Formats: sequence, structure tokens, C-alpha cells
Amino acid sequence: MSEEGPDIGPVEGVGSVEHAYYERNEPLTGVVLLPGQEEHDTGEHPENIRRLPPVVKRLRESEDWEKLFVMHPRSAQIEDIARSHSDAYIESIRRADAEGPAWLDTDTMAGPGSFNLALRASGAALTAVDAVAMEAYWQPDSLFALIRPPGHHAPPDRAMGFCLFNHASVAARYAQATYPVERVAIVDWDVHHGNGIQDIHFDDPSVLYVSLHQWPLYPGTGSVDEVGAAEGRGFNVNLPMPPGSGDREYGEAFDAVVEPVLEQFDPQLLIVSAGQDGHAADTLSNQMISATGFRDMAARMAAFTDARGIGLVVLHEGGYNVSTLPQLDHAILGGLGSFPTDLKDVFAEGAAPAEGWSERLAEILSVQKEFWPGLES
Amino acid sequence: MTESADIRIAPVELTGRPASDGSDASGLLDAIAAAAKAGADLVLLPQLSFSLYFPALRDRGALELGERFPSPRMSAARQAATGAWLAASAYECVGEGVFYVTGELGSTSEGTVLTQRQHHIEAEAGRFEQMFISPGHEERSVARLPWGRTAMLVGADARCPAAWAELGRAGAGLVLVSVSETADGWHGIRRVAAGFSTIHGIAVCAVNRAPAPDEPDFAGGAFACDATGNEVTVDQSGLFHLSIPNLGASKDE
Repeated sequence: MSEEGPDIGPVEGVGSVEHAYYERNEPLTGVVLLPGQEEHDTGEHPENIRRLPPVVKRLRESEDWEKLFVMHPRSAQIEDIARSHSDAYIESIRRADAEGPAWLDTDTMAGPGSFNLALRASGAALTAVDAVAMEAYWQPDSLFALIRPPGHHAPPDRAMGFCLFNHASVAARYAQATYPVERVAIVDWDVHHGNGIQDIHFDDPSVLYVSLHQWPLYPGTGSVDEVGAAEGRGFNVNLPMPPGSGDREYGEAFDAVVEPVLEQFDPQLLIVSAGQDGHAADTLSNQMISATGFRDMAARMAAFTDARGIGLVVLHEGGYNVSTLPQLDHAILGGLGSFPTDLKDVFAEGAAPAEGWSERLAEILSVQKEFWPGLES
Repeated sequence: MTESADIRIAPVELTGRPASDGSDASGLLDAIAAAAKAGADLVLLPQLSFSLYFPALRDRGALELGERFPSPRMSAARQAATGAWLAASAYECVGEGVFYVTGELGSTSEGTVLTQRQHHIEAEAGRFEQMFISPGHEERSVARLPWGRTAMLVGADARCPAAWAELGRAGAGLVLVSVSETADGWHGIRRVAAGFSTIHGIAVCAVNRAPAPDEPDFAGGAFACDATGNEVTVDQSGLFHLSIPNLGASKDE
């Protein structure tokens, strides 16, 4: 150590940008990149190798790149995955990698490279958990793992809905096994219900799952009365959003349900399953969320974790319009890091109120009041 | 010495709008047939040749217009072209959530000899191209045809200098351009096409979408230039006569 103080240099293998992070006044956010994402090549499929490179390109070309804490992932170990998936299922993905390509369900494929990439994608989630949970001078407040394939549909014993390993669940259980973290909350704003996360944690009171999803829509699960089972009853909170829901409805859902439930649950780590397929220009849904809407949801989650001094890990799930995804992911980082990004969004302008939302919100509140008495009508 | 061959191209500015009973409401098939009858070797149609310009509307229902290829509408248009070749573009759906604007060049006897998806997706204010169209990602291809090596550029790709340069390097002798442009955009495309024609020694034939109700203010029009960038006019039958340099011949042999 020099006489002037600690000699702070770049942190080899952790972040690529040299900063005196400990002196910062602004929240520090960043990304976990996924090298080799093209190894899981699904061809002409909405979940394909062309989704994430434009996101990274936009970030790299932006002045905001220098503000971001940039990390590269390690691979998850089999024992990390086995906390959420059966051994037989993990082996089946390894076999598909070795002997495939093979269709694992009607819309999920795996082939050469898929197994290792899925391990690395889960590993990116674990890398993010490590970074926000370790008490280090360079500790970021939040990290956004830009990963694929997504994970939230994968139940314990099979692949489903483009997903192989359930990264959010794997990350939650890794945090509980590795750090003094007992309660983990997962907020999932992907437009599809994360049936896999729900299945894995349905009777688990230590992991709160809150999902905002278009309903009805694939996979068909996620009704308001799926509240958990046994000791986990009440810790599964579904907000089935009517088709056409946009910033207005999602904002009201956060105000009325998501944030009050999080407050009461008092998590020690917050994981967001961030699927941007509810955007107004995504071809797989009917929702009308704008770039501003995604920024606001991210900013709300960052404000929540900042107020509690806990870590925030954001995991990329869906989002299939490769033209608009870069702007949306950039907006999320802007929300996490409190810096402005381009939010002009012609696709969501003038979105009409979603039909049936008021009644749906009342129904959600009436069900959830049994478990979360602080909720107000 | 550079070899060359002649071709007669009929630009048809119309686009197809099927009526509720499935019939050809806009008369596109009749126009294609008339062009072939007038002696065209090739009939060239504008971008999204078989539908209204739905990317201008924020209506997700238009996603239902995506077709699995081979496109039935493309096949019907080729039938209408009888013995002539047809260069047109259709809305291709390759699976849930993945849509392209795809140009095809083919004939009833030879089938499809060239497929080119639109790579660059641009939207002006109040338009929604990025909502409906996935960017194409395949390498640009050049087809060897009786009159020479031929390529296609669809939509905003025609404004992209890198695309022209790529086709020039690939030895294209003729580039067929299929666009939907307002007056300013069409003016720009003509200038770009003539410029790259001169630089790369490529003959060009371009057709723009005709004005139609309920669509942006497309300018319509057709344009062609020879391999030195000199503009060519249509004959009395509405055909462009072009001499195509076979620049790739020496590379191939």
C-alpha cells in the first residue's frame, strides 16, 4: 500500500473497467456477458443466436459502456444445477448435446454446444450473485446477465419453452447455499408465466415468486389462485395481466401488489427474470409495455434493493424482436444505474387501457390479502 | 473481352391486394400476364409484392399475413408470368415470431433460383417496420442466369452502400431492386443505384411501389441503368432493354 492510500487498479478477471468503485456516489450496475452464445444455435427460431449481439453492440457503442461494470461468467457446476433439476434431466441435456440436435419439446431444441452454453448461462447468474453478495470494495449494486437460452419455463425434470436450465432458480438456491441468505425473491416480468420457477419453488417458503405475465398465453399456467402449497402457500404470487396491458397497468401492479409484497417478505437477495417480450413490438405477445416501462420496472427494483442494501441480479429471459431488444435492455440498465437512455418508443405510444384490468387487479388483491395483509384495495 | 447478354425487364408498380373472396382485387396477376405477353423476359415487382404495406400500421393482426415458403401467392404470380421469370418479394414466416421480407427470383419451369431476405429494417416516423420484420442474416447471393449473374436488393437494403459493394465484389452483372419508397426515398435510391452501377459496372433495374389508398405516400416509378450508370428508358411496351455484362465469367471458368 502506498503512503497516499490503497493502490486501486483493475480487478483482473472480474471487471474490465478501471474505477475507484468504492468512492462512487451513483449506483453501480453492469452486465455479465455470455461469450460463445452462438454455440447454442437454434437456426430459424425466435430464441436464436441473433438476439443478444445487437444488445452488446449497442452498449459497447454507447457512452454508457464506460459506466458499466463488465463481467464474464464462469460455468455452473453440475451440483449447482442439481439444486433445481433432477440428475436424469441434466443427463438428458448432456446426451442431446452429444447426440443431437434434438427437439426436447415442441419448441425447445438442444444440440452440440447447448449443454455447455446452458451451464455457462446459469454460471453467469451465479457470477452475478457472487458479485452482488460478496462484500468487496468493487461490489456492484446490481448486475444484468445477458444470457440465453432463457430459463424460467424449465421445471425440475424437463426442457420447456426454449429453456434448458432454470437460471433464476439455480441462482436463488446457490445464494442460499453459499451466502448468509435465507430469503430470496424472484420477480418475473417476462410476458409468459415462469411455470418452471413456480414448479420448483411451489412449496418453498424461502423463495418468493412474483410473476407478471399476459394471461391467457403460453404456457397456460399462472392463474391468480396458484398460490403455492404446503409451507410455500402464499409465497407464489401470480399477476395474470390482461392482453393489451402496458406501462399503466404494470405500474399499478407494482404499486398495488409487487412492491408491498416484497416489502413484507423482506428478501435478502432480489432476482429479476427480465423478459422483454411484453414490449409493444414483440411478436410473441399482445402487451404494450414501452422502453420507459421497462426502465421504470428496473428502477423500482433498484430502488427497493438500494433501500435495503441487498443485491439485485437481473437475468435476461425472453424478448424476441431483435430490432427493439437493444433499446429495451439499454433502458433497463439505465433504470438500474440511474442514467438516461433513449426511451422514444413509437410502438407503445397512445396505448389504450387494457380491458378488464381493474377487475383483474381486484381479484388479485382479494386472493393475496389472505397472505399479505398489508395489501390495500 | 467482357461477354454480355440482353434482357427485357417489365417493371410492374402494382402490388397485390386479395379481395375478401380471394380474387385478385388489384389486378396484379393480370398486369403480370400482360407484361409477359408484351415480351418481357423478367417481370419485377415492388417490395411486399402481394399485400398492402401493412408495416405502416400498428396492427399485430398483420402478422397473420406471414406465409411459409414456398409462398402460394408467389406461385400464383409465377403462373401468371407464364414463361417469363418473376422477381418479387413476400412476407415470410419461418416459425412463431420470426418473419422476413423475402425476395425470390424464379420461374414456373426453373423454380426458385435466388432467395434474398431484406437485411436492413428502417422505419420512418409513424411507421412500424421493426415490429413486423426480422432482419435477414444470410450472405447475399448471386444467381447465374441465361443473361448473366443476377442479384436482388429488397427494401431498405437498396439504400445500403455496403450491400451494393458486396454484390459488386460477388460479380453481379444485374441487380434487381424491389422497394416501397416515398418521393425523397425513391430519388435517393435512383442516385445510389446509378452511382454503384458506375463504380461496379452493374446494370440495375428498380421498381417502386405505386401510390395506393391507406398506405404511406409511396411514389411509384421504375428506373433502369446500364452497366455504365446511364439511365435507360422503357420502350413502347413498357420494357427496359438492358445489356448485362457477365463480369463473373472469368472468375468462374
